[in-house]
Amino acid sequence: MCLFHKKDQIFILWVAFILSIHSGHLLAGTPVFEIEIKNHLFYPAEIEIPAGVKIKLRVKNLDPTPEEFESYELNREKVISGHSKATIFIGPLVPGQYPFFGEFYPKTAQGIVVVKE
Amino acid sequence: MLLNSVILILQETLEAALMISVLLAVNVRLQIKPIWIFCGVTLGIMGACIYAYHIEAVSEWLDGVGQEFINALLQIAIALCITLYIYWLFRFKGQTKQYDLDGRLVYSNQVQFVLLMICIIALGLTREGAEVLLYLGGFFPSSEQRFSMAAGSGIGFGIGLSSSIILYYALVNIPGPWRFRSAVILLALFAANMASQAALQLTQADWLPHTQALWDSSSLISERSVLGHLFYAIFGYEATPSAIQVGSYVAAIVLVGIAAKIGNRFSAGSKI
Amino acid sequence: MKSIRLFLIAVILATITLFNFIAALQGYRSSLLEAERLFDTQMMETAEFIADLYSENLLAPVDHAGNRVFQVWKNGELKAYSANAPIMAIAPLLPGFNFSNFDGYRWRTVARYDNQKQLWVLVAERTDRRYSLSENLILESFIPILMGLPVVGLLIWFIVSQGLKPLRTLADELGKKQPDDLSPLCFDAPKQELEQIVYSTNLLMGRLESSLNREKQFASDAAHELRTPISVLKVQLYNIAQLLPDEDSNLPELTETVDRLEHLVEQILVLYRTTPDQYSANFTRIDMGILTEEVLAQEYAQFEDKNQTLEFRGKPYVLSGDRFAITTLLQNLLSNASKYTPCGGHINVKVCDEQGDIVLTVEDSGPGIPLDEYQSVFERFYRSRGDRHNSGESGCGLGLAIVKHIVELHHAEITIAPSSFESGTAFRIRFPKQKTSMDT
Repeated sequence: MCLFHKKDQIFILWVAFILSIHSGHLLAGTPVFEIEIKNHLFYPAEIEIPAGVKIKLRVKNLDPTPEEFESYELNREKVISGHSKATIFIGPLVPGQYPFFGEFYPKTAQGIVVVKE
Repeated sequence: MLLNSVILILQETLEAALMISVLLAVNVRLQIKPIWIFCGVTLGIMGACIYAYHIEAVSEWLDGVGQEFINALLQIAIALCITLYIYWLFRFKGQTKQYDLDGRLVYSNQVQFVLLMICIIALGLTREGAEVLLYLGGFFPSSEQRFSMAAGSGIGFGIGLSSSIILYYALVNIPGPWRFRSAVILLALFAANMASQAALQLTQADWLPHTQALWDSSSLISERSVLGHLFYAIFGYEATPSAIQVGSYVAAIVLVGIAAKIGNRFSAGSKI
Repeated sequence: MKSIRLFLIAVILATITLFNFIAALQGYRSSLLEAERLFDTQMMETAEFIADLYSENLLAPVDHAGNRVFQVWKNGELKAYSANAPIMAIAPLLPGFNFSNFDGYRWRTVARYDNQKQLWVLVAERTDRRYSLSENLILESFIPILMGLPVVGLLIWFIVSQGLKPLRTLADELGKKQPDDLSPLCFDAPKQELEQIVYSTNLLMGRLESSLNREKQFASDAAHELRTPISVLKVQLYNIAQLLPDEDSNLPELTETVDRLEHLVEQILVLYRTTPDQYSANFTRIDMGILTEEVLAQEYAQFEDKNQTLEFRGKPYVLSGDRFAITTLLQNLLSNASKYTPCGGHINVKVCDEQGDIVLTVEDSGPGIPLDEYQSVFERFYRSRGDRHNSGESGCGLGLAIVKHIVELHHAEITIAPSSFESGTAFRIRFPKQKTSMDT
């Protein structure tokens, strides 16, 4: 039984830690970039973001079918159901090209994040 | 479309299938009936249906990062369940065998193993299954690609199932103490994998700070290759893992190690 | 791993599936790449074709609505285009292949600069069409792999079952064997892997059989050899008794011990004589009712000594049997009943007909046999409740073993049950009907 308590404590501490970081970041203004998914295509298919800055990516799925925003380079993965929006935080990143795609329709849903100085 | 289905289904089923085969192999040792696995699977599928059905509402939670939160929660819960499971495994490693009236071998402490196992499988399937359901559900109306999608899903599922059958028999046939050790090592890797994925989810939700990738091994083993998916399913392979992911991975392994140590000590102390 | 067969089938099928599917995937990937290259070459050729066709007077949009579009640009001016193309350049003016999104689709584009006419020809194709075209082609090659898998599974099932057949036959052969059947296994042309098992098993059986035979032979020889000295001993005891004065009280006990010894030796001899595979029975028609009555009359003295009530019910029933053996059987059962029933107890003997079978029942009101000993009482030298018999009766523990031999000899069956008295045991022997011609 003792172990349970210990784990609970660890978990609570972890959550507290996470929450403290979360609130800290909320204070700083994060630039927002918007992407739309329409007919299994990303609009725009290429977004340019500044290096070393964290940004908030708002992905709006205008299709009735769900889509999964995925990028191996960005290490991001998120399901966006039909006719809904999703928020994904990206960065801060070093300059370079970071392709992303829609995992459910990867042949057409292709895009790239270009990070520039 | 086919390749895409294969990769998606494989990614989602391989992890769950390998986990189930490790638990099944441990069950042989613990004399737990496989029926409990099906219990976990059923619960998991039900959970997946519920999660998939409410995914839109969940996504809206917490300023649009509800999905990440739920996923991270599920993954942390799985990691903790595995840690507890390993603790109990070590706790009763040296337990003397008991027999019931019919002369069958019984472990009086099966309950926690069964419960934890059901939890691990159900939670794992809830997360993985929801994605598969959303994917398949999205395609169902378009008859054009139904065949290639079905073929792709079949192949992905076949690869996942075959790998887990081979892993199960490999684990069951390992001689001597390594049978137990390898199962524990695999479980520990699963726990670590879950912890690192949870860290990733929380980074994505901006609840954990972003850290730079520690290395880039994508030229060596691409995450897109079958091998990459297999490694991802077994030990959470990432081509470009962030420091926080690696950190939580290591932390989970240390936690499992501590749990095993404590279990071992209790086991040695309480031998009657 | 409970079943070898399941293990083999599952692992073989899983391995085949895994490698088949991965190979198919690799094939799919490379076929798709090849198809891409093919489409690209075609597009490039189309671009060349359009450049060749182009002339200054062609300015109207070409009416075309397929999944391919083109544009001709000269000095930043759109010179010619297909009707389904937008007004903007569909691709950057850089020679080579690219992707671009317009018109709600994703397109594969190619740009080609014609040096002679100094113009850019841009051609684009919808990627989804390209993929579905090439995929349909490749999927055809997938069908046999997917459809073949169940066939492969069935074949593996069949092959593995066939391969394990000798093992199952051997197991059946061993399973069918009676506990006392020690004949060698008749297993035709055993497979190389099973040769050693069959050889070793047969060797073991042979050794077991010869050692069992030796044991039987020894016991019966020894008993036979002991008879003469015991007879001599008895005569000498009689003589000593005549010589010694009556006060010497040890002598009757000695006589009793020698009598028991003689009884034991006789019983051992009967036991081995009545062993079904050794006894050369002489089957005649016996009237069971009359024979039982005769034996009861012979044995009546012992019941009278203990003041026991003996009840007999029976009618003449004829069966085919060995007179000596059946007499021995009756004697053993009756003396058992008398021995283990206290003074003043009851013994019921019954011979009746049940659906054509002749059933002999001997019941007593003794202490009875505990349930868990029912099987053991027929073992040689077994005595109920160990040697601490509260009946205080002497016995050698061979009586019921002899009874069992005789029952087997007559292909009859014996059952033990609690008697109809308050306590006690009932032995029931059922002789099957119409076994008139019985030879062993």
